[in-house]
Amino acid sequence: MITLAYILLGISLVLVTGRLLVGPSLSDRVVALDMLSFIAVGVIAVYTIATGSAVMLDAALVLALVAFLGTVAFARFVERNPSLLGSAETVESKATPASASAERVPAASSEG
Amino acid sequence: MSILVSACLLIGGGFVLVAAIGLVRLPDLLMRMHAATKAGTLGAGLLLAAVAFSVPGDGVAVKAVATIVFLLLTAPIASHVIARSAYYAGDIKLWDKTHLDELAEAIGSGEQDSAHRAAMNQGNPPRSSARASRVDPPGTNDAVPADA
Repeated sequence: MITLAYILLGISLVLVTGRLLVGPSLSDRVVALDMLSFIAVGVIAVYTIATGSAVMLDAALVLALVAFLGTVAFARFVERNPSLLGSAETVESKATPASASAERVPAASSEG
Repeated sequence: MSILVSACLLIGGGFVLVAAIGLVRLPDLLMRMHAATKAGTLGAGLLLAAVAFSVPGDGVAVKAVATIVFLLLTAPIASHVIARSAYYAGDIKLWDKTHLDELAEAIGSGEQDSAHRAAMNQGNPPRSSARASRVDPPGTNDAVPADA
Protein backbone atom coordinates (compact mmCIF):
# COMPACT_ATOMS: atom_id res chain seq x y z
CA MET A 1 0.00 0.00 0.00
CA ILE A 2 2.87 2.32 0.80
CA THR A 3 4.50 1.44 -2.49
CA LEU A 4 1.28 2.07 -4.37
CA ALA A 5 0.88 5.46 -2.74
CA TYR A 6 4.46 6.30 -3.66
CA ILE A 7 3.78 5.26 -7.25
CA LEU A 8 0.65 7.41 -7.48
CA LEU A 9 2.50 10.39 -6.04
CA GLY A 10 5.44 9.82 -8.37
CA ILE A 11 3.24 9.75 -11.46
CA SER A 12 1.54 12.95 -10.40
CA LEU A 13 4.93 14.49 -9.67
CA VAL A 14 6.03 13.79 -13.23
CA LEU A 15 2.81 15.18 -14.68
CA VAL A 16 2.92 18.36 -12.64
CA THR A 17 6.57 18.88 -13.48
CA GLY A 18 5.60 18.61 -17.12
CA ARG A 19 3.03 21.34 -16.65
CA LEU A 20 5.62 23.38 -14.79
CA LEU A 21 7.99 23.15 -17.73
CA VAL A 22 5.39 23.55 -20.47
CA GLY A 23 2.97 25.97 -18.87
CA PRO A 24 2.01 28.66 -21.34
CA SER A 25 1.83 31.48 -18.86
CA LEU A 26 3.64 32.35 -15.68
CA SER A 27 0.52 31.82 -13.63
CA ASP A 28 0.30 28.26 -14.89
CA ARG A 29 3.78 27.64 -13.60
CA VAL A 30 2.89 29.10 -10.23
CA VAL A 31 -0.17 26.87 -9.99
CA ALA A 32 2.04 23.92 -10.86
CA LEU A 33 4.47 24.90 -8.11
CA ASP A 34 1.61 25.07 -5.65
CA MET A 35 0.52 21.61 -6.71
CA LEU A 36 4.11 20.40 -6.34
CA SER A 37 4.10 21.55 -2.75
CA PHE A 38 0.89 19.57 -2.19
CA ILE A 39 2.54 16.50 -3.65
CA ALA A 40 5.59 17.04 -1.47
CA VAL A 41 3.37 17.20 1.60
CA GLY A 42 1.78 13.96 0.48
CA VAL A 43 5.16 12.31 0.01
CA ILE A 44 6.18 13.41 3.48
CA ALA A 45 2.98 11.92 4.86
CA VAL A 46 3.60 8.59 3.16
CA TYR A 47 7.21 8.61 4.34
CA THR A 48 6.02 9.23 7.88
CA ILE A 49 3.70 6.24 7.69
CA ALA A 50 6.39 4.08 6.12
CA THR A 51 9.07 4.80 8.70
CA GLY A 52 6.98 5.57 11.73
CA SER A 53 9.11 8.51 12.71
CA ALA A 54 7.41 11.87 12.79
CA VAL A 55 10.42 14.07 12.28
CA MET A 56 9.34 15.15 8.80
CA LEU A 57 5.87 16.36 9.75
CA ASP A 58 7.22 19.73 10.78
CA ALA A 59 8.78 19.97 7.36
CA ALA A 60 5.37 19.28 5.83
CA LEU A 61 3.78 22.08 7.82
CA VAL A 62 6.55 24.52 6.96
CA LEU A 63 6.40 23.48 3.31
CA ALA A 64 2.70 24.23 3.14
CA LEU A 65 3.32 27.59 4.80
CA VAL A 66 6.14 28.54 2.47
CA ALA A 67 4.21 27.50 -0.61
CA PHE A 68 1.27 29.64 0.43
CA LEU A 69 3.51 32.62 1.13
CA GLY A 70 5.29 32.21 -2.17
CA THR A 71 2.04 32.06 -4.08
CA VAL A 72 0.63 35.13 -2.39
CA ALA A 73 3.88 37.02 -2.88
CA PHE A 74 3.90 36.14 -6.55
CA ALA A 75 0.33 37.29 -6.96
CA ARG A 76 0.97 40.63 -5.27
CA PHE A 77 4.10 41.11 -7.32
CA VAL A 78 2.35 40.41 -10.60
CA GLU A 79 -0.57 42.59 -9.67
CA ARG A 80 1.76 45.49 -9.12
CA ASN A 81 3.62 45.24 -12.37
CA PRO A 82 1.82 43.09 -14.89
CA SER A 83 4.47 43.68 -17.51
CA LEU A 84 6.46 40.83 -16.07
CA LEU A 85 4.00 38.31 -17.37
CA GLY A 86 4.84 38.77 -21.00
CA SER A 87 1.95 36.75 -22.35
CA ALA A 88 2.02 37.49 -26.02
CA GLU A 89 -1.46 38.59 -26.87
CA THR A 90 -2.30 40.90 -24.05
CA VAL A 91 0.83 42.96 -23.92
CA GLU A 92 -0.44 46.47 -24.23
CA SER A 93 0.42 49.98 -23.32
CA LYS A 94 1.23 49.24 -19.74
CA ALA A 95 4.07 46.98 -20.77
CA THR A 96 7.26 48.72 -19.85
CA PRO A 97 10.85 47.71 -20.37
CA ALA A 98 12.14 45.38 -17.75
CA SER A 99 14.86 47.78 -16.68
CA ALA A 100 12.39 50.54 -15.99
CA SER A 101 9.93 48.30 -14.24
CA ALA A 102 12.45 47.45 -11.57
CA GLU A 103 12.49 50.99 -10.29
CA ARG A 104 8.80 51.40 -10.78
CA VAL A 105 7.85 48.76 -8.28
CA PRO A 106 7.31 51.04 -5.26
CA ALA A 107 5.63 53.76 -7.26
CA ALA A 108 3.38 51.58 -9.36
CA SER A 109 1.24 50.31 -6.56
CA SER A 110 -2.20 50.69 -7.99
CA GLU A 111 -4.01 49.84 -4.83
CA GLY A 112 -1.92 51.22 -2.05
CA MET B 1 -1.91 -1.59 8.72
CA SER B 2 -5.56 -1.05 9.19
CA ILE B 3 -8.19 -0.78 6.53
CA LEU B 4 -8.77 2.86 7.36
CA VAL B 5 -5.15 3.88 6.84
CA SER B 6 -4.94 1.93 3.61
CA ALA B 7 -8.12 3.50 2.32
CA CYS B 8 -6.90 6.98 3.21
CA LEU B 9 -3.58 6.34 1.47
CA LEU B 10 -5.14 5.00 -1.69
CA ILE B 11 -7.89 7.58 -1.98
CA GLY B 12 -5.50 10.39 -1.14
CA GLY B 13 -2.96 9.27 -3.69
CA GLY B 14 -5.74 8.84 -6.22
CA PHE B 15 -6.98 12.37 -5.65
CA VAL B 16 -3.48 13.77 -6.01
CA LEU B 17 -3.14 11.86 -9.26
CA VAL B 18 -6.49 13.20 -10.46
CA ALA B 19 -5.35 16.71 -9.62
CA ALA B 20 -2.14 16.20 -11.57
CA ILE B 21 -4.00 14.83 -14.58
CA GLY B 22 -6.37 17.76 -14.43
CA LEU B 23 -3.45 20.15 -14.22
CA VAL B 24 -2.05 18.65 -17.39
CA ARG B 25 -5.20 18.06 -19.40
CA LEU B 26 -7.53 20.96 -18.70
CA PRO B 27 -7.52 23.74 -21.27
CA ASP B 28 -7.61 26.87 -19.17
CA LEU B 29 -5.72 28.44 -16.31
CA LEU B 30 -8.83 28.71 -14.19
CA MET B 31 -9.78 25.11 -14.77
CA ARG B 32 -6.27 23.93 -14.02
CA MET B 33 -6.34 25.93 -10.83
CA HIS B 34 -9.72 24.42 -9.97
CA ALA B 35 -8.31 20.92 -10.35
CA ALA B 36 -5.08 21.60 -8.49
CA THR B 37 -6.67 23.40 -5.59
CA LYS B 38 -9.60 21.21 -4.73
CA ALA B 39 -8.41 17.74 -5.65
CA GLY B 40 -4.87 18.46 -4.50
CA THR B 41 -6.01 19.73 -1.14
CA LEU B 42 -8.27 16.75 -0.62
CA GLY B 43 -5.53 14.32 -1.63
CA ALA B 44 -2.86 15.79 0.61
CA GLY B 45 -5.40 16.10 3.41
CA LEU B 46 -6.31 12.43 3.14
CA LEU B 47 -2.66 11.40 3.19
CA LEU B 48 -2.12 13.48 6.32
CA ALA B 49 -5.25 11.96 7.82
CA ALA B 50 -3.70 8.55 7.23
CA VAL B 51 -0.67 9.76 9.21
CA ALA B 52 -2.93 10.94 12.00
CA PHE B 53 -4.66 7.58 12.10
CA SER B 54 -1.62 5.34 11.93
CA VAL B 55 1.50 6.82 13.48
CA PRO B 56 1.57 6.71 17.28
CA GLY B 57 3.36 9.23 19.38
CA ASP B 58 2.94 12.55 21.08
CA GLY B 59 1.80 15.32 18.87
CA VAL B 60 1.84 13.44 15.59
CA ALA B 61 -1.88 13.58 15.13
CA VAL B 62 -1.91 17.19 16.27
CA LYS B 63 0.70 18.14 13.70
CA ALA B 64 -1.10 16.23 10.97
CA VAL B 65 -4.43 17.83 11.79
CA ALA B 66 -2.80 21.25 12.02
CA THR B 67 -1.30 20.76 8.57
CA ILE B 68 -4.68 19.67 7.21
CA VAL B 69 -6.38 22.72 8.66
CA PHE B 70 -3.63 24.93 7.32
CA LEU B 71 -3.98 23.46 3.85
CA LEU B 72 -7.74 23.86 3.96
CA LEU B 73 -7.37 27.47 5.02
CA THR B 74 -4.66 28.56 2.63
CA ALA B 75 -5.34 26.71 -0.61
CA PRO B 76 -8.51 28.66 -1.53
CA ILE B 77 -6.81 31.93 -0.65
CA ALA B 78 -3.80 31.14 -2.79
CA SER B 79 -5.97 30.05 -5.69
CA HIS B 80 -8.15 33.13 -5.47
CA VAL B 81 -5.16 35.42 -5.33
CA ILE B 82 -3.52 33.82 -8.35
CA ALA B 83 -6.74 33.94 -10.33
CA ARG B 84 -7.32 37.56 -9.45
CA SER B 85 -3.84 38.71 -10.31
CA ALA B 86 -3.74 36.71 -13.53
CA TYR B 87 -7.13 38.02 -14.62
CA TYR B 88 -6.41 41.64 -13.94
CA ALA B 89 -2.97 41.41 -15.45
CA GLY B 90 -4.49 39.96 -18.60
CA ASP B 91 -2.64 36.69 -18.28
CA ILE B 92 -5.69 34.52 -18.81
CA LYS B 93 -6.74 33.33 -22.20
CA LEU B 94 -10.10 31.79 -21.55
CA TRP B 95 -11.17 28.60 -23.16
CA ASP B 96 -12.79 28.92 -26.56
CA LYS B 97 -16.04 27.40 -25.38
CA THR B 98 -16.43 29.72 -22.43
CA HIS B 99 -19.90 31.19 -22.48
CA LEU B 100 -19.99 33.81 -19.84
CA ASP B 101 -17.43 36.13 -18.37
CA GLU B 102 -19.35 38.13 -15.85
CA LEU B 103 -16.28 39.78 -14.46
CA ALA B 104 -15.45 41.35 -17.80
CA GLU B 105 -18.96 42.73 -18.05
CA ALA B 106 -18.75 43.99 -14.50
CA ILE B 107 -15.46 45.68 -15.15
CA GLY B 108 -16.98 47.40 -18.12
CA SER B 109 -15.24 47.84 -21.38
CA GLY B 110 -13.31 44.62 -21.21
CA GLU B 111 -10.60 46.22 -23.23
CA GLN B 112 -7.98 43.59 -22.75
CA ASP B 113 -9.15 40.95 -25.13
CA SER B 114 -12.41 42.28 -26.41
CA ALA B 115 -11.68 40.85 -29.81
CA HIS B 116 -11.38 37.42 -28.34
CA ARG B 117 -14.64 37.75 -26.48
CA ALA B 118 -16.43 39.21 -29.47
CA ALA B 119 -15.36 36.29 -31.58
CA MET B 120 -16.44 34.03 -28.78
CA ASN B 121 -19.86 35.61 -28.53
CA GLN B 122 -20.53 35.61 -32.23
CA GLY B 123 -19.55 32.03 -32.53
CA ASN B 124 -22.85 31.09 -30.87
CA PRO B 125 -21.59 28.08 -29.01
CA PRO B 126 -24.20 25.40 -28.40
CA ARG B 127 -26.12 25.69 -25.19
CA SER B 128 -26.03 21.98 -24.61
CA SER B 129 -22.50 21.97 -23.31
CA ALA B 130 -21.54 21.49 -19.72
CA ARG B 131 -21.53 25.16 -18.99
CA ALA B 132 -25.00 25.81 -20.35
CA SER B 133 -26.51 26.01 -16.92
CA ARG B 134 -24.52 29.11 -16.22
CA VAL B 135 -25.94 30.99 -19.16
CA ASP B 136 -29.33 31.33 -17.53
CA PRO B 137 -29.55 35.06 -16.75
CA PRO B 138 -31.10 36.35 -19.95
CA GLY B 139 -30.27 40.00 -19.50
CA THR B 140 -26.53 39.62 -19.63
CA ASN B 141 -26.63 37.11 -22.40
CA ASP B 142 -28.72 39.35 -24.58
CA ALA B 143 -26.73 42.41 -23.74
CA VAL B 144 -23.41 41.02 -24.74
CA PRO B 145 -23.86 40.65 -28.51
CA ALA B 146 -25.54 44.05 -28.60
CA ASP B 147 -22.42 45.92 -27.66
CA ALA B 148 -19.94 43.46 -28.99
